[in-house]
Amino acid sequence: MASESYLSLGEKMDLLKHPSPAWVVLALILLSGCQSTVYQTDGQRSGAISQDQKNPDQQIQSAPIDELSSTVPVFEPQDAKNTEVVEVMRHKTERLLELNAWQQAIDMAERGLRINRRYGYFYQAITEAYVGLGSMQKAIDFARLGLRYCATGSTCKAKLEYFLAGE
Amino acid sequence: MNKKRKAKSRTKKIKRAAWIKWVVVSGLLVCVSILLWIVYLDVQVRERFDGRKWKLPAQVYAQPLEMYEGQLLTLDELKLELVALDYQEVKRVRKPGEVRYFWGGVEIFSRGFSAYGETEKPQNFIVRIQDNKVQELKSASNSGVSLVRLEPALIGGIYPRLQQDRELVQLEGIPKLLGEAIIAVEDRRFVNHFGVSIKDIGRAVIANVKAGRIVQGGSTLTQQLVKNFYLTNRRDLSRKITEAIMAVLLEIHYSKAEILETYINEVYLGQSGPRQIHGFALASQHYFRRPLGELSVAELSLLVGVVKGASYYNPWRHPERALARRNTVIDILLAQELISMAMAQSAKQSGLGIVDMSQRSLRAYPAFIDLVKRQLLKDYSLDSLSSEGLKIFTTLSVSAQYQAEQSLSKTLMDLEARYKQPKNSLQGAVTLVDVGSGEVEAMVGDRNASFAGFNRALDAHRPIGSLIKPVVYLSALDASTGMNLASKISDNTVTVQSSSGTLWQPRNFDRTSHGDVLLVDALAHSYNQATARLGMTVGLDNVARTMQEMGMEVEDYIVPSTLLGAVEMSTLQVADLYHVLANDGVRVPLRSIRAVENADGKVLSRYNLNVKSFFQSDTIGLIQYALQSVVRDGTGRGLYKIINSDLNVAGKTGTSNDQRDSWFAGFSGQHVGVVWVGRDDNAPTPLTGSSGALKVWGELFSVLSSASFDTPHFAGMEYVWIDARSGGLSGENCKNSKLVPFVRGNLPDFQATCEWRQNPIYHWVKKWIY
Repeated sequence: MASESYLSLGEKMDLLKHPSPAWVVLALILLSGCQSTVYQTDGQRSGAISQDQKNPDQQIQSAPIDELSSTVPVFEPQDAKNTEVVEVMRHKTERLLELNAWQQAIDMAERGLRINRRYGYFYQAITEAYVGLGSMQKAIDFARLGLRYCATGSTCKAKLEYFLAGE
Repeated sequence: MNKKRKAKSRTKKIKRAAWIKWVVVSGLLVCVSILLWIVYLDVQVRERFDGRKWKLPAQVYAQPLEMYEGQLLTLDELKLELVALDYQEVKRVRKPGEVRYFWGGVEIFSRGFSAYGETEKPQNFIVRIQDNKVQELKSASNSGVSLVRLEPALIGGIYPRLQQDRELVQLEGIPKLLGEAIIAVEDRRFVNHFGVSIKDIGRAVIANVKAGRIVQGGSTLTQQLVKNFYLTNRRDLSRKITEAIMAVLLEIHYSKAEILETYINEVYLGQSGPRQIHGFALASQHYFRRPLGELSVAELSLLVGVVKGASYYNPWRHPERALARRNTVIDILLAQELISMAMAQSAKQSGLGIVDMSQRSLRAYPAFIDLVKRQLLKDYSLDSLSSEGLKIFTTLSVSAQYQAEQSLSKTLMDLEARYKQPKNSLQGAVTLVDVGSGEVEAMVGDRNASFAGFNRALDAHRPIGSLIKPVVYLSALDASTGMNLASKISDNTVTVQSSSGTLWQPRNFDRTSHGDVLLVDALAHSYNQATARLGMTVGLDNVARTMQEMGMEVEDYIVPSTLLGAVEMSTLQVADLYHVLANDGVRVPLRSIRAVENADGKVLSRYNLNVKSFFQSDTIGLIQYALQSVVRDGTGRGLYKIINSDLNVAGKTGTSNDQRDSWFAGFSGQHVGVVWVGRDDNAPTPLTGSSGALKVWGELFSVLSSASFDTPHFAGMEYVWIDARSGGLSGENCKNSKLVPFVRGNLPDFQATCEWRQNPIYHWVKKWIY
């Protein structure tokens, strides 16, 4: 007797299209347990009953959050596009900042941003360089901008937040 | 009697003495005058020679092409850049300025450069391009290279009224043979004479008398320099004397090397439209599009030959004359033993080697140079720009500019043929901006891009129609109205009464009302009635404020028709507006210049990235999504018939009343492009935004290397399934549901009924399995 594991994918799908009662029960248990999340509006969360909830035939559901994330990836700061060249530019920018070569550091960071405009470190570097040049307003502008592109918990974010808190 | 004689003789003596005195005084006066004149000439000679010798026009450069692994770049784009830089295609790369194409790759020997404080050394490297991407970058010796930059291409100049142009070169930078050839051909006794050669003058006089006309000149090289540098072309004795004296003075004060160097930079060698080509360095670029140091014996000989008469020996107009003259020069070089017989024979066998006439126009970017000039005039006087030899490093991408020019001219021709419009009746403009940096990479102001006339990209201010709508929707979503993309708005007829009592009743393009529609659909399908109602609901003052924050020059109080684009803008201004949307809500001033250097290479100004204002990225994300809907499902859906479906873009069509203006503004992840198409006489056209400007945009983005636009999902956003008809919350497996972004906490406040697309169990298991 062939066990289920020997069924092909097509056979599995056929089975699902014409489910046996046992399968349906099992699937419903699973569905109710984890997957078929009914989306609740703010009103429902606070206890209000919507008109649709009163009618059990009209099931309202929304896709689970992991499903949404896979469809539209959340923007990830410091994304890893063109990693190697961006890292080379980051390294060069860091060297220039160490040498207090503020203007060259800005130029290099801008070159980096032309390759990846969402790489938060370059905004941090430009902020530092403008502080070095004494252009505080520009430093603040770039720090604010950088906060958009530095990942939560990153050094970049911490540095920019610290700088803005002091201003 | 004696007395009388004596008196007479005394009178005579007195008269003679007076006469002699008069003669002496006159002679002295003449001598003093001559002396003073010579002193005056001497001052003139030294003043000009020691000071700034020439008015040097500013030289304008494109941005250098930066290459790295993973970069989006097509082989065609790389070739365009190399052509603009005059790289020579060879079988074996040996020196800077050479390129070799082989299966799957390109070997390049870059020339290196110094610009705005950065130095790039010459590099011999190999780049492999596959699937429109740089797959590999390595040195010719096989070591890895992370980043390479080609030198910036010279794209034009900013000239004085008298358009003398030259590229200065020092004697040590001149090929040895060139100096020797000039002396051999123009003035063999140059090293021995003192400015004037009596022998040569005598020989010329005899030759001219014998011929009965002027057949030979006796001017030395120094005299030629004096004539060109200080004097006019007037041909008379006094000018000849002045010329001779000044030549001698020049020889007294300056070395032969200094005189030769000045001659090499001064001599007139051709004409390019209104622009006069002076000096051998620029002539080398003009005729061969290569630096002087890369020229062959034959090419140098042609340049030396052209000195005798740049117009008469113009190699494009009179190739036979030019060839004969070049061969004469080669003969002289051989006779003077400056080259060997083999070299002479080989040089004579080669063609003229001048660039094709069509290639000469590749460097005409009048619309972009116009933009550069206008931006520079905020910081520099026109005199400085046209006389101090400034170097302007700009943001122009040579390949993107070419692609934009071609897309516009080709598509306009196609449109005229398709819609049976008279030839050349349509005009257009294109502006292309890099997202993030705000750098203008391309600008086309005329369908004939090299025509330096009316610059439509800057000066054609035309009603932008529906291009304004994203600003209205941004106001609605940004304000504390509680609206979201799933909010419903009525698309029924709307009537607005002005304070003067006049009624404004906009209609949809299809003359149909669509009932209650979702905001996202109203924007995607560009419904006028819904948008007008939305704008009036949000408030004209709020919309005006958003417009101002986005950089538009509008009054605090706008009229209702502004909501549908009754506002006139150029493609550059629209690009500024849409750049805010593409750049996640960050407004940066658009730039066409990176830096300005003086003639000595000192950086005078830098034009760095600046930040002007911010919008909430979450709200901008909603607009970005809606603009993606425009090209996926709305009025711009025809775009994907032209561009690759993998390229994710967002954009908006725009059409003004009576279809006088056709617009498309859109962006990828890397570029914002704005296209206008219309007629100069403002007559109606058969084109809408989607049947006109969109086609040009699509054509451009089908060849331009540009990164896809990331579907917006900022931290403060969430994607939720909604019912496409009611706007209520729904689910993935519900019919008519779609995934729409919302600002967190501002979701639809009701749930729609759900009719399953598939059996829910089957749907779930299918998802589970896959």
